[in-house]
Amino acid sequence: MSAENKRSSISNFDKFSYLLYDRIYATIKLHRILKHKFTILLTLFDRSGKTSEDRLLYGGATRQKELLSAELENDGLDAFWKRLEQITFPADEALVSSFLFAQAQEEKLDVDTFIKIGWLRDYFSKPESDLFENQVLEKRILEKHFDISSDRYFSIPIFSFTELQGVAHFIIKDAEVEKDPEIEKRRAETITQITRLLMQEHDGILLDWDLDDESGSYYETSRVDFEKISSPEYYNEIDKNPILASIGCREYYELSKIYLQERIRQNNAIPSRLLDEHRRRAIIAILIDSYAHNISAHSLTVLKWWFEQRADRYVLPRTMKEFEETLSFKGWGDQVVELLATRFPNSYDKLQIEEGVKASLARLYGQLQYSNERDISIPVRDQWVSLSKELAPLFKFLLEKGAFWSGVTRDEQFGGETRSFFDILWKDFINNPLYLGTIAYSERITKLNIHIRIYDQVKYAGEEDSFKRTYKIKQALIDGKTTPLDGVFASIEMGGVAGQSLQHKYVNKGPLYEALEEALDAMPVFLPGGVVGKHAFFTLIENEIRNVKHFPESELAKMREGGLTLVIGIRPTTLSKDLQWEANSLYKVGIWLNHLSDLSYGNSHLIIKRLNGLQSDIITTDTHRAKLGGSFQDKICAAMLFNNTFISVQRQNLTKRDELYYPWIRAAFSTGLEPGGTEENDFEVRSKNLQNAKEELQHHPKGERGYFKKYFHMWQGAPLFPLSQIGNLQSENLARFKMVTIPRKSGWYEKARREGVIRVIETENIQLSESKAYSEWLQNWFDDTPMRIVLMQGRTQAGHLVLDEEGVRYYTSEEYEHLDADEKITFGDYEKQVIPFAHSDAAKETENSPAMLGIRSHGIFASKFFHHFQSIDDLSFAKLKEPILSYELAEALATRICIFDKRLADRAPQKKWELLSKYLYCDFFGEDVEDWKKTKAHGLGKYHFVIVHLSFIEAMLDKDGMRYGESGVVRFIEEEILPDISSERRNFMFVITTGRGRTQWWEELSKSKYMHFTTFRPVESLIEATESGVVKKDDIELKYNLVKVLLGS
Amino acid sequence: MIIVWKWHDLQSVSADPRDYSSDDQNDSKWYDEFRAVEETTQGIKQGPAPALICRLKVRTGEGNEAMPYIHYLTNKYADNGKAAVFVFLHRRDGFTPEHVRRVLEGSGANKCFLFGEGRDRLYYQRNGIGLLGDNGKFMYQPPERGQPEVKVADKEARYIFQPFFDKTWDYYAHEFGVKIFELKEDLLSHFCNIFPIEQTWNQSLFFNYLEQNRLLLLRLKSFINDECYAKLSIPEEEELAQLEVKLKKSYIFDDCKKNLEKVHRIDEDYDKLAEMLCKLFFNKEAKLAESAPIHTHLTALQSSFQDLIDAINNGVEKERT
Repeated sequence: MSAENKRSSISNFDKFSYLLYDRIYATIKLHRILKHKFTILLTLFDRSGKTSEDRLLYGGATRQKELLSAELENDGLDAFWKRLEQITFPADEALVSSFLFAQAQEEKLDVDTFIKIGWLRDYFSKPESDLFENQVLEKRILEKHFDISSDRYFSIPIFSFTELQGVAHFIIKDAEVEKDPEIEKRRAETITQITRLLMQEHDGILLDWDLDDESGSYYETSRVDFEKISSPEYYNEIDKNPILASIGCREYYELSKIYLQERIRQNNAIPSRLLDEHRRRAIIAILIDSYAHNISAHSLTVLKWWFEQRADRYVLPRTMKEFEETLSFKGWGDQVVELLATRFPNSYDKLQIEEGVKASLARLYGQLQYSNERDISIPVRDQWVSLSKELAPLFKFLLEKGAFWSGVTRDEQFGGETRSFFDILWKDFINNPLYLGTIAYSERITKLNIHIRIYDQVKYAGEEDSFKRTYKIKQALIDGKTTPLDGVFASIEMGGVAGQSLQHKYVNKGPLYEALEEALDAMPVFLPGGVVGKHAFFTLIENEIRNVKHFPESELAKMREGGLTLVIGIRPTTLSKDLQWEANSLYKVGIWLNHLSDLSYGNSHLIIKRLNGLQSDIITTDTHRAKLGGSFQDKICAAMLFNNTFISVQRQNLTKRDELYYPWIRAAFSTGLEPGGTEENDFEVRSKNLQNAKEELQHHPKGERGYFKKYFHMWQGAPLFPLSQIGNLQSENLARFKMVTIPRKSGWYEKARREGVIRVIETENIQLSESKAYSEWLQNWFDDTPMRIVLMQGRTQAGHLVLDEEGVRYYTSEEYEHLDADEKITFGDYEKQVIPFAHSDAAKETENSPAMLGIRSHGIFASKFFHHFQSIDDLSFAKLKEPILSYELAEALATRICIFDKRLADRAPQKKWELLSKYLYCDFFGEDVEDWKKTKAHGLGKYHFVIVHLSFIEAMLDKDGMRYGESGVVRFIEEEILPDISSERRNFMFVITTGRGRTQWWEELSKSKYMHFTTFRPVESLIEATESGVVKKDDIELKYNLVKVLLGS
Repeated sequence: MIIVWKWHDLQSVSADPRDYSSDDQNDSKWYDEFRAVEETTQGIKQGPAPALICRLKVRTGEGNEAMPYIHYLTNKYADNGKAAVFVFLHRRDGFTPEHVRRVLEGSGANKCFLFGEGRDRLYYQRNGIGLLGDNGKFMYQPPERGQPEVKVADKEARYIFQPFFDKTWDYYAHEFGVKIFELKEDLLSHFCNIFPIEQTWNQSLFFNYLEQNRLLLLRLKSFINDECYAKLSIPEEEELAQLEVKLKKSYIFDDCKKNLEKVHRIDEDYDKLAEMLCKLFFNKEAKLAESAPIHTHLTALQSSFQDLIDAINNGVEKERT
């Protein structure tokens, strides 16, 4: 075995070595190779995983004791046996076999090395005081069962799959040694035969071990490269130990290859499924624990108490009575009622309005009364005005957590969603102050600073990925001054004095907000499963906030003053160079609390402890129970973000990428920045540099303090990927791309679709520019139909989006007016889609009796696509920010969608359905079978997406009057969809949506031939897409959001 | 025609009129002219009488700030009464009936109209009347599916094409008379032949019946504009505006009376009619309604409407002469 190859661990190694001993003993006995009393000292490399270095132990000592006890029931050596079972020692302290290990190391091990049969008396010839502890133990035991002065020993190396596993020392009676010179001549042959037998026994148990569910030996044998070890080159160039040739190692594996490979295949299938099931359950348990801890135990407990007190103040009858006794409603009250009744004649009658005004006033009265008597102020409890603004994001967050749970139980993510870091951090994470601001409340910390640090370079002290590295912070020009992108992005303030303002400001922008907004907005990040990936990311952050409890009281006191500062460090990077994948594809995300920690952990270091913990399985080896705790929550979520599924959490070596990135989280620390500095020294430990890290850490001061960090990776969202080899997918994450080009007739279309990419473009030349690829995609998506999308302001054409084989172009009305006359006539004949907006955004008609579509200046249409779009009056003048956006806009506007889902239909205002259908090609329906029949009668073929809720499919009756049920999804497609849609169509997707975590329907579908046009979207994502547009009163945003969720990016 | 609103294609102009000193008032930086021309097979031909549209380019914060500029331009183009000037004020840029009054009183403008929300005839519709698109530019509609393009103006050459100008001018020359005439016709046709004409006028019965025609009720209130009994509330104003957008027609009278007072000096006829309508439909204390049978009141109404319309027509004739 070459020195650099560390032996992987074998789970339940005690039991493994017990059985190995048993089999070796039995084989020697049954083959009558030894005829007299014998025992074996089986020195094996410790593969229990308890030590990281190559040390030896006495394998199967328990079995050895049992066998010897058969002859001498009580040898009185229990204490020695016990110690023998525990002791480990380095190979160079193995007196007899040390030379054997050394020879093997030097690739010189031959049968001559160990053919000699030695005397025990020689072995124990030194004074006892000069013996190693293990030798003393051996001596104590052997002198009880053998005659040291006259008995003998010989040693045989144990190989398995060509790797040296240890040495078996056979202790034999002198009588065993044949004195006949003829027999002695054949000794080499006998020794070789024993070596071969030992190898077969070890191989056999290892194969059994992979089958044994309880052992969970990480599929040791799966990693064996049989082609390699059965090739002559291996023995000539890689492992040249002559013994391997002597025992016929190559021939053995050559002859047994088919058998062994088949056995491994069968072995792997069984425990892998069993273990996966255990791990699936463990993942749920571990993440439930995260919910219970972060949300329930920390936040909801506090919020529940505050709101309970807040609610208690509204004993309305009492307050109203008091209020009526002290204040006359006549006069001012009547005026208010009159005003409201006149202004809103269709809401309540005057009597109700009067009651409402009094009740509202009484609520405020009660609130003020309480605030007046308060001892300490808590804004959530004491704030005068309503908290709806703060409650809405909390409810959204809880709703999305529900979607996250469904995603966890389902664990099939069907692509994902690309959003900017700004979007997810600012809009979805930070602007949820009630939750975030209360995670650390148990430590009485009411202020949380979210600090962002963006890196752009890294330098390694040695080779890449060495333990120490220096990160350089990215700089930006702010107000003409070069400034590091490193500062507080936002603060969440739950404390303060409620009386200072009517509405407490819970979220405050930090001093570097604007610069960081710009930088984060330019960082598209891929979230596998959309909302599922987003909450996996949030869980990683929440856990870090929760870690505040580990800080000493002195540090907590400082945090109560200045706030708890959470740092999120982001560095765009590539995949490991070992994967030879140059694309800039990842973000390395670091999360830590910006407060100094004591980094020592007993005699070890905190980061070593963290990594060791992360490297272990998420389930216990004996009972397969989930190992609860923040580290495993982190590990599971980081695995999901990197591999798109939660169950990949223990996938250590399916691909080279797994080997390099497992356990998905890296433990690190830094000593911080020099004041005003832009470089940060980081120390990061991972499996590969663990040994090196340990050595270096010995030179670090004891009791060192620093910032304790965790790092993980997220994929960059990217526009286009030319898929030239299907093998590329082992390193890449295809779902992160907006578009994928594949060679025509490559047969990869379905594979790419299964990876979650909808925009798959089959083309002659896969190396296309983004606009060219988008153009080809849209040509295909819209059936090669030239189109002109006319944006109308009232009755006037204000903008033109022209789509034909030349691509997509956007013209303002003036630009269009100045086009060549023939061109205008040509475009005028294209298929026309009219998008009419109300004449002005001040006009009320969009809300009450809509005849036209509404947009808002802060909505997607105005803010994402156009420069200087402040109001609808800018429509004729505003120019697209970038030409490529014209493709995205045309796609969003002209894609035809049909939705059969009660929840979505309820969200989209019914008074707008007709408009959305007529102008934006977006049809909403509840779950009425008659509507389904009518829609089918008009033809499903016109749609690009048909979205149906799973429960609607389940409840629908087939032609025999039977419910399709969950397992009937494939039949539903065949009977209800395929008559309208050719399965060959490449511009149609059937989308099943549900909020449940069921998977049977998907398993059935996965086996069908319809996967290339079928996908799934969580109903919560579609609801969020719809609600966001509805709340903003921006119809284009509603449609855009839906298309984005459906297409994935 | 002087059209005053925030022309959004005039981006270079300062948003603050204070940036212009009084010396700048002759500077064409803050307004521009479009001369009406006829497009013939021989090319562009000036019309028989010089006609032009002047766009005030000042992007005002609110109506008041634009007043000095409007006065300057109206006086300039009216040329001591030698030429007729119509001023159009965009509602959403902060112009109100009060500004109409101030324009009419302080300058040589013959008429002053409020417009906006795409519901006035200044916006181009199908029959060649109107100049503006809903997008705040001179109307342009590209050719499509065999239909020729519609082009009201040539921005580069600063031309406005004569047919559009003439039709729009003619419409606005008669707008108030037409609006009042239509109100009369719709009101009388709504009530006549429904009840026996001998029956005594019953105010509450008639009011209830009026309420069934919401648009008519709102137009009547807008016309009467009586603080105590018949004035459009804010929601009613919004409701009327929505109906106007929906029907693509202006019904509101908010700029009407000011023009009649200033230009035609016929406010007495207007007030008389408005008072009569108020007493018949809204003012319960007036006791006019129950004093006579239906036919008597309808005849009186018809007569009053006609007096007002005749007076307006006479006024328009005088303007022409």
